[in-house]
Amino acid sequence: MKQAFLKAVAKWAEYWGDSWYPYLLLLSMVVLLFVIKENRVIRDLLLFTAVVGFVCFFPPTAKLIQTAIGPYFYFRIYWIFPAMILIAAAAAYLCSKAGAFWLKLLLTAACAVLFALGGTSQWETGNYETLHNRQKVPDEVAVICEAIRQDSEGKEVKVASNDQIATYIRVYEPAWYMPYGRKGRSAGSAERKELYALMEDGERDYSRLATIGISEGCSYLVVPLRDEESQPVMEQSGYQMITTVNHYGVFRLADKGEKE
Amino acid sequence: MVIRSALALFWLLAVPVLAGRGLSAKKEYRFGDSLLAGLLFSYALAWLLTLLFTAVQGPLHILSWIYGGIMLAVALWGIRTFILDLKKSGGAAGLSHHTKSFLTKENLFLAAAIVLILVQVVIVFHYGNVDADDSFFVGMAAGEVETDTVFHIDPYTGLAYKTLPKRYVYAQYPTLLAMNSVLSAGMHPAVLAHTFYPVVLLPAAYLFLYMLGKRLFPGKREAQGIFLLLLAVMGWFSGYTQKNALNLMMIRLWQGKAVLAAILVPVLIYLGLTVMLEKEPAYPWYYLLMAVMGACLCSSLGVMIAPLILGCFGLLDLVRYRSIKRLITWGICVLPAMAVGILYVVR
Repeated sequence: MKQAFLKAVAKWAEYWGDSWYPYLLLLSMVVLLFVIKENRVIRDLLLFTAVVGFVCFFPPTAKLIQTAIGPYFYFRIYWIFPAMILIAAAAAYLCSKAGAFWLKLLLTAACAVLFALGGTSQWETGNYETLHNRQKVPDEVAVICEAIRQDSEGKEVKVASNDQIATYIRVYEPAWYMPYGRKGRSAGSAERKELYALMEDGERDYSRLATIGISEGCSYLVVPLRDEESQPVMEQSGYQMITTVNHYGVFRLADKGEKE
Repeated sequence: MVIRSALALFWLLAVPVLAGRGLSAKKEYRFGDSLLAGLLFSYALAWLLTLLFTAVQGPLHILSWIYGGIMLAVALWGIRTFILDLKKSGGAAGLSHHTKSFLTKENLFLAAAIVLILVQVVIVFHYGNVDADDSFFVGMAAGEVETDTVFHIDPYTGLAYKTLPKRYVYAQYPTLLAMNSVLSAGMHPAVLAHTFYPVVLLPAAYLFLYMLGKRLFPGKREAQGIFLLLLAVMGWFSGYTQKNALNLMMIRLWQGKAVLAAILVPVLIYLGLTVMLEKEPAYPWYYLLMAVMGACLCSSLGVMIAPLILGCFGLLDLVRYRSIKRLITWGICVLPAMAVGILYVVR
């Protein structure tokens, strides 16, 4: 039970990161306590928050929820905690209570600055990036997919790559097959798992990688090239390089004529 | 692409708003009320239909046209209601009166909030957020459109599932994306998800928060405007972790869990305050039922979160009104989630 409570506290800290918002939340709740006599809805919201807080941190209920959704994902339970609503409500109440209009403006601006300093801008985290394809997958993936599409001339494609590329291939081109997906998921057989492991391994054995690629019927392999030797080894093992995109070599399963 | 874009906006925004007007119990027209009713209805309908089609292994295009047909029929009913509203309110003259009454000093904060939200909408439209979870969520929808199936193809490999993944089988938000893709003349699900979904759902999320603000500060326009403005500021500065609800709202509003965290949870809290804790509810009880079904559609976690929110409000309701009849009504609203919850455990 103690563990459940400690996990709940740890996940609460994880949820807020290094932001000031948990402290602002505490302050807001204190402010709103003075409003409950005149505003019944805010009182109801605070009562709801109290019940939610109890459910989230009371060890038996916390334990029950952690068992249901998994301890790692316990941070998601805090989605129901109306923290930002309470903070905004407290600030809006205080700002709107200021007498003169210019004072309201000033206070609102001050709160905005406080919230900005207390959080992290979406620009700063790099959450938004410029992408040059309509599907908005990494540009590298789009270029690789277009190269394969052009080369395959409408034939069936089965392609394998490492996580950075494989994760988005079927988002961009859902007609293609893959031996495994993101983080090697749905790999099924030991051989496919080995193929994934080789793709992720910096010291990969290119010859073994190509052998498994052929065995799994991969018509294309998108492989990070380690050095100048990587391409010849792949080509001796049955794959023909059609292009390079950044540090990736895009290889097609060679037909008999090409091998000779 | 222009026709597809127009169709996407038609199905994502116009149809839910019009359908919502037909469903809305309110006599006076409010855009927010219509969108709320329409969105909840579309999610509840999609949830029921996707479960049915998964069970019978029906094709996606039939599912899409049934869904689209029902939504369109309700939207037509909404147009009729809307025309009657317009006649009552004095047509364009009434609209002009509303526009003039908005341009007042006390609405300055609301205007600033709207500008800030519009800037955010332009950013989510123009830029992209690359998220590995799309491998499943968007990959699933793309695979369904490609193969004209419903929850049949493993998004990681493109091969048919041998056994359906228990975690996602009752929460098929990606299938709604696939349905909207079919209805938008085959617009690529990734384009629909990464560009059109956030453009429609981000303002919708803020609108529902604004409605909550109006509830918290009835008749106080300045406070309502400041509330929304500060939430928009907090939204932009929510990058401190990937896990918080506002951050999900800003960067991943095409994934079911983000819609659950950023839209349905605030909506459930709003409905809890306006329906469950009011002697005379502002909306009919079936709004709660639709919201719970919507939560089940969005994420397997919705099965737990929605009843938890309603349970907390239900407890307060019981203490306040001591009415078994009301408690039974709220109990009926969480039944779909409870039923699915049992299936998650048993199967």
